Amino acid sequence: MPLLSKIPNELYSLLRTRFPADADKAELIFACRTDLAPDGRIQESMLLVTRRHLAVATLSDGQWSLTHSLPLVDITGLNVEPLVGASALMAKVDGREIRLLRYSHAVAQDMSDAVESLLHLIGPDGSPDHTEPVIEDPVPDWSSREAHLRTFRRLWAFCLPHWRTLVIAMAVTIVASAIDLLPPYLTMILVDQVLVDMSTYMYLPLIVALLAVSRIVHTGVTVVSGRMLAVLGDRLAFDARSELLNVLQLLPLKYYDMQQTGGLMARIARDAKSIHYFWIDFAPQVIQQGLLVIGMTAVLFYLNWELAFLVLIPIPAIIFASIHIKRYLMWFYGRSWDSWATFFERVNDALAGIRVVKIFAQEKRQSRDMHLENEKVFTAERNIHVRSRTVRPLLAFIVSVGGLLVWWYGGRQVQSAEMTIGMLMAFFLYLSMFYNPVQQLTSMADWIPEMMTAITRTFEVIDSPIEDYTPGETVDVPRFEGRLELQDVNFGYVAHQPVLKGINLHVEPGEMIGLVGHSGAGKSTLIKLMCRFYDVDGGGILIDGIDVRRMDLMQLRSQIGYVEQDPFLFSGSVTDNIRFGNREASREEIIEAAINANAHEFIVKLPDGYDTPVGERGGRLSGGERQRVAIARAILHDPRILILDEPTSALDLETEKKIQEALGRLMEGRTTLAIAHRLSTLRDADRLLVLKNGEPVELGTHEELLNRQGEYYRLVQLHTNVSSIVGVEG
Amino acid sequence: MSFLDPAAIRLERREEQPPTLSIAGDLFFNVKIRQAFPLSFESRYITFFDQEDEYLGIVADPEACDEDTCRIIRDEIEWRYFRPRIERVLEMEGRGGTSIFSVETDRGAVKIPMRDLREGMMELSPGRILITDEHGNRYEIPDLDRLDRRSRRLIRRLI
Repeated sequence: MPLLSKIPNELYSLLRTRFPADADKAELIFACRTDLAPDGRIQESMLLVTRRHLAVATLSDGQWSLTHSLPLVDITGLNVEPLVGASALMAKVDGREIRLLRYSHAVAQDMSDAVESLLHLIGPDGSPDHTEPVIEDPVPDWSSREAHLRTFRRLWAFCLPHWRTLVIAMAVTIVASAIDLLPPYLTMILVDQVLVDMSTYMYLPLIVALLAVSRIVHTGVTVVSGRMLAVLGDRLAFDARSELLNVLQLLPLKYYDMQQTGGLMARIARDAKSIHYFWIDFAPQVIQQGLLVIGMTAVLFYLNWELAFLVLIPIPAIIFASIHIKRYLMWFYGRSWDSWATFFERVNDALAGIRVVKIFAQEKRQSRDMHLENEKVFTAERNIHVRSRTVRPLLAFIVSVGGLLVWWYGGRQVQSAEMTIGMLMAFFLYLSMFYNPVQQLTSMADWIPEMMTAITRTFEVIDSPIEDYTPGETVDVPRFEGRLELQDVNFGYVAHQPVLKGINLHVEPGEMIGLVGHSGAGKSTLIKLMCRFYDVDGGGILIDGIDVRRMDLMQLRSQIGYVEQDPFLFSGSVTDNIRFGNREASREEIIEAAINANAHEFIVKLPDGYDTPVGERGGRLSGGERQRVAIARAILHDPRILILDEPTSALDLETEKKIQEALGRLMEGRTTLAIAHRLSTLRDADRLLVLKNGEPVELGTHEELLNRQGEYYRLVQLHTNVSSIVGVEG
Repeated sequence: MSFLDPAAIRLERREEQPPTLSIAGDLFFNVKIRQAFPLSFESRYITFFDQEDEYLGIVADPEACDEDTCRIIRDEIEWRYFRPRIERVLEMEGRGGTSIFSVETDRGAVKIPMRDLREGMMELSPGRILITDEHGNRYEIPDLDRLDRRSRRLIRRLI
């Protein structure tokens, strides 16, 4: 999101008068829009930072005023205080806490980013004079109204590689429109000049042949342009989907933390298709129908301008009626969709819960409820059909008014020999072609917002910033030794709400470290930092003495193995899943890995052995089986550093033993960080790091820590009271 | 060593009984033989289980075993894996939500009833199709291109 929001001119001049000293430094470093006034009213406010000052401005009765203004050097701290349903930004000045502003959750992320950037500038150490404005590359804001133009430009950029096809298809479309205008004109010649005189009868076959040719050419041209545009549209939709799919793989994990998978699926499937609709249905239709209207208007005026005026009379009424009828009906369509949705939801519920219904003997009530929904569907559908059967003939009537006017006025002109019968006929033929494009163009206007929204949403994803795979200067580390150092690691998902504080740890190659702590202690977060799903806010993570941020992301991750608590398997065969991290692996290697993971035996007992499809998310395998396939996958991946999140759920003893054995083999010779839940793992670990509220509290072996009788001792006590097998909940 | 040495194993069988396996002199009666990759690599990776269905081992290349052992493995696989190969598709008809294929297979003519075509037809590799009917029986088209034109057309419409 842009840290530099647009600010109103009025506010800009207010700032200039208030901080003239800043004026020569010329600018606002950033402005962040919030949605609550300091007193809690829902009111636009702004956090503004110039080179030397921080200010808060609020809009009150249409007037901007500054509610706070503080020199940056005086601010010794900034922090976000979570409230209920909102947050507050607090500044520390002379040891006092000052409440700067409040904001709702809607702008929380923007504000967190703003505060993070601000920290560089405040206090006596802040260096605003030689700090470049801290502005992230703004991600285009596709949702704004100005974005429509940008969307069009992006659409065009998408089409650019295929411009030749597009130009030819459009040219062919124009030719088709021009040919469309020909038959009525030929008819006029036929009636006025050929059929009136015996001597000109010989031209009849010629005119008919011309008519036939024009129809044939028109058909051919329409087929050609239709096919070209269809291929082009499908190609563009394919391109859009491909770009989306590429980007989706490269987006950072935090993007997914904020999105629902379903929404993304819809974008891939449906929204990308809207680019196809734009080029296939929308653009050619607008051009063709538009040209037809223009062309016919010109021809009508050329033939008889007075009559042409009469033809135009019903046009405003047709446009007006088309728009209103559509909107009027759309409302009823909306009600119908709603009622169908509720109906399906209800029926689905009733069928899925049929056992509960029967046990509670509620069949009759369920039937009654469903019947009520059915009645609502009936009413909604009836409303649509009755109304559309009423309004459409009315529209047809308005259209026919044009015909009546032409009959009346044209007929009189024919009677007075001011116009020929042929011309009158041509007028009628044009008339029948004229109102249809007008109606179509009008109804297209309604598509635009819907289509543009879908197209915009597609670009929104495509243009999201992807992960930084190769930072400026990368250090090449083809194979880690496995020495791991955490140096004063600090991290928070939301700025200034640290989840990890001051973590220091030195791990030798091949050592196994168990991470222990209550739920929310920061164990999983530490693991995410190790995989560089997120970057540390302070300190650093070093592998073999090199900061992970200086490594090529692919190279780093290819040497880290991760066995999740509830491993995710992809739909595909067992083989596909085991060799996920190493596509080149031979069958022998796959089998070896499975044997080492204690998975081979259960796999070969499956009817299709290694070829068995595991189902969506591995659903056809049991929890213990999934675990072992995931361990085999990690073994084959052969990472130098292993990250392990032990499952908390209890499995039967036999499976448990097999998994423990498999993990033991997997950890051999690898530096391992394990979130440990089981006593056996805790005992086997070389050292244990105990975390509490994001801070390291103890480090040592199982025995050492037990003897110390501190936090670890308490956790183990708690755990042995709860269960003798499953370890400390994490 | 995870794989068995083909030279160290030997299978014997008396008439219709399950075979006996000797691994480096140890005898195991009534062994079961399964393929590790029954769909993607049938000729290799053969696994052995004892009569309690405990895993005994795997041999990567059964062709390297002696001739009798090799033959018994083939027979046992043939016995365990019933998957007729479709040679001709005669016709397809829809009956109340179920599609019925009349086909000729290497094991005789049969009618294959299918409820869900999408679920039931799986293309294992280009041209190789596995069909699972509504009862769970499986049929295979080893190479679609080698079927006659009419059969190909009927199948292509569905995949």
